[in-house]
Amino acid sequence: MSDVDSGPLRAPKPKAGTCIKCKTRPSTVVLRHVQYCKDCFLFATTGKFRSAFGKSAISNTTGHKAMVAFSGGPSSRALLHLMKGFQHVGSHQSGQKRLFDELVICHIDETAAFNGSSTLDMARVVVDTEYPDFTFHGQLIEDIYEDEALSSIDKKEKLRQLFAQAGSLTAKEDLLWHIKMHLLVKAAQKLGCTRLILGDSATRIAIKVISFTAKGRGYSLPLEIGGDIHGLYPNLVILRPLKDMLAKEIAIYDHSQGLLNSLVPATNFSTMAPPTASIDRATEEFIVGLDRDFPSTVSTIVRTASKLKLASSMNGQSRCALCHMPIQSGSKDWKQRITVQSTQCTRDSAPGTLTVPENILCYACQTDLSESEGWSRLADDASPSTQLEEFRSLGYPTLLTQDDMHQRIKDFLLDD
Amino acid sequence: MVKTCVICDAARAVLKRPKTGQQICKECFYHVFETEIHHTIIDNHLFSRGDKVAIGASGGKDSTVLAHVLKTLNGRYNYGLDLFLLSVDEGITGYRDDSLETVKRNQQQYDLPLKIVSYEELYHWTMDEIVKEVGLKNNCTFCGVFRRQALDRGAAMLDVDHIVTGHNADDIAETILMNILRGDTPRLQRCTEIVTTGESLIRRSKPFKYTYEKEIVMYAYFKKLDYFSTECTYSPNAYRGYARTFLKDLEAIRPTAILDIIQSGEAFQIKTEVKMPVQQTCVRCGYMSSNELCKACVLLEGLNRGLPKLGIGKTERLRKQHNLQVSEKPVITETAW
Repeated sequence: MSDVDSGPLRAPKPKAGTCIKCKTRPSTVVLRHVQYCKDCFLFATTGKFRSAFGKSAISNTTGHKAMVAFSGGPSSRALLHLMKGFQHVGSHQSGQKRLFDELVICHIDETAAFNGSSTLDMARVVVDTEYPDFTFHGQLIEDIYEDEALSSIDKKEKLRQLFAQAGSLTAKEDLLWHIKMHLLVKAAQKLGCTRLILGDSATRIAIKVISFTAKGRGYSLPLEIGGDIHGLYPNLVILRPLKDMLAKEIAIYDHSQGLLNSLVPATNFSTMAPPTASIDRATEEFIVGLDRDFPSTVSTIVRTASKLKLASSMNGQSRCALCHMPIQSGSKDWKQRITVQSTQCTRDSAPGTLTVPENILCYACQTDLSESEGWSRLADDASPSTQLEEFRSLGYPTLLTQDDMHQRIKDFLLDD
Repeated sequence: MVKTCVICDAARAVLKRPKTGQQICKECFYHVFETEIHHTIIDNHLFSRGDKVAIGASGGKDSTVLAHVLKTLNGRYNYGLDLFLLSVDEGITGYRDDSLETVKRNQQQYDLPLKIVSYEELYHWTMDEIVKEVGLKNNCTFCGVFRRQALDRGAAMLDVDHIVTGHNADDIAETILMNILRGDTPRLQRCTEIVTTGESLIRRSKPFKYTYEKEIVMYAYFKKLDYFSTECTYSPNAYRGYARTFLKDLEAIRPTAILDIIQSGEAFQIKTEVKMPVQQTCVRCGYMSSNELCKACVLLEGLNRGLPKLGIGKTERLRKQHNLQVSEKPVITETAW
């Protein structure tokens, strides 16, 4: 077939098996139907990583201390290594600025929730031996309970009880993620970090886009997957520099850099669980399978999500006590009107129906909580501060304080 | 052990409600099912008193139940609607001819006027003939595009203000997922709208937007409604099949997932920089279009000139070659949504 651009000046088509970039070395990596040699692949990956920081509006990194979330899985393992290369300034590049003033690597040991053996030491060894310039910060998940009167064993027990009554596996997985996010944010703020760097790959983000949609998180979705999120937490910006890299790309990177031996094994609720066990598991199975048959699936989903903007109704005031995302008002009423549960045609639901306070929880967390054993204790008609107290007494962690609640309702309170 | 209904606490529970998992009796099921649809109609101001409303009737479960429920609610709440049945005969032997027989029985059962418009009279092509020409790969494109327009034309003939269709919550949730997977942001924004209005000024709406497919089947079953349940003889869209299977998996894991997806879809807002197609009128037939020539006219032109590929997939080059003016890429690719 003769195309218009096939003139005599066109470079010869590279032979099969040759790297598309340097056109000399044999290719060893195939990504998105394109073949690279190892060197060119590494060059491209590092370049993509740098440009992820370059693109972000608040990319000025000097004067900032950053926290890198390191679970020890393939993505965050690559992230750590890429950060090292990124911070390094060779002698010939003395004009180039170092990026962050300081990097703290935070590992959360979540094994208390699963009765596994601790991962803290493994993570510490990786950081101390291979990245001595970085500060290691280990965090036990049970320390979400800051009450000093509680022993470590008490805290673990309290955590296990919380998970035991949390409802479905979907709700448990969500809860685990919210707790980890709490811990990361709290640790970052405590250590004076102004940037929190997460290792979400494009594949992970595509899975999140679909599973969050399925869980009714559409309202806050742009805030939960964005590469550069500010304003969600005070003085803390969330960055996702791996958001354009496929899981496969990251796996090849780990392999080529010899990082696979220093992964920290992860256990969680859905380990060994069938794909029908939770919304996250089903979505992962669906996206990975679809991407195998239609290789542009992941990038299309990520691109679709990048075109979403924050709702015009969003204001900074009402945040969910569990996930800290903005609460969309009216969503509970919306659901009640189309999920009639009694024969009385009133807007109030009958006693014993599935309602959870909208004052303190977003739509998606209401859904999760409605599966838990404790939701009925969250009285619908109580004041937000009472609800928040009840919520805490159930063992749920929250970033909201009584002060936040007071701030939110102060216009409605009368002076004594 | 006999279980009593958790709603009325009197009658025997005979079903587990798919949407909530509640074990309830038949009468309470009818009540909640119909009331939710009533709420949807009222809260979204779908109708005004005196409206002439055409029910898009295929003879399938969704439109049969829709006709039954609208007739019931119109009487119970005194909406003051003038109801009609409107059917499209695509000309599919062994499928549509049989389902139209069901529609004709529905007409008797519900005592509503019926209008049938056919592809043959509107386009001089039946689906059977189109399939002979284009094969089984892209035939659904033709059918979807033609059906949407045929409904509008039938509505104009009936002089109605409004068309209601039986699209249910599962259909909407599936379309939301599909539009994310395909990266179709303009449609992602539009597909959750409960009412749409085209150039023809005939409103279209989906009173079953929040109604579960399983409950529609249940309602038809308990009410012993007469419907036609055969799938179309021409193969369905394969990619949509993936989304459908996934949605069923999600529903099995968490029954509210269908509503939760719609909740998400309604909350999505697309950045304004994203180029949205501008609606204009087709220079040939006057129907609403995002190009100078509407999709139906392009497809028809292709059929009549023996170039059935015209209007399928990336059409820009073909359109240029055949002197069909285009100002931008067409938006409609696979379905009529």
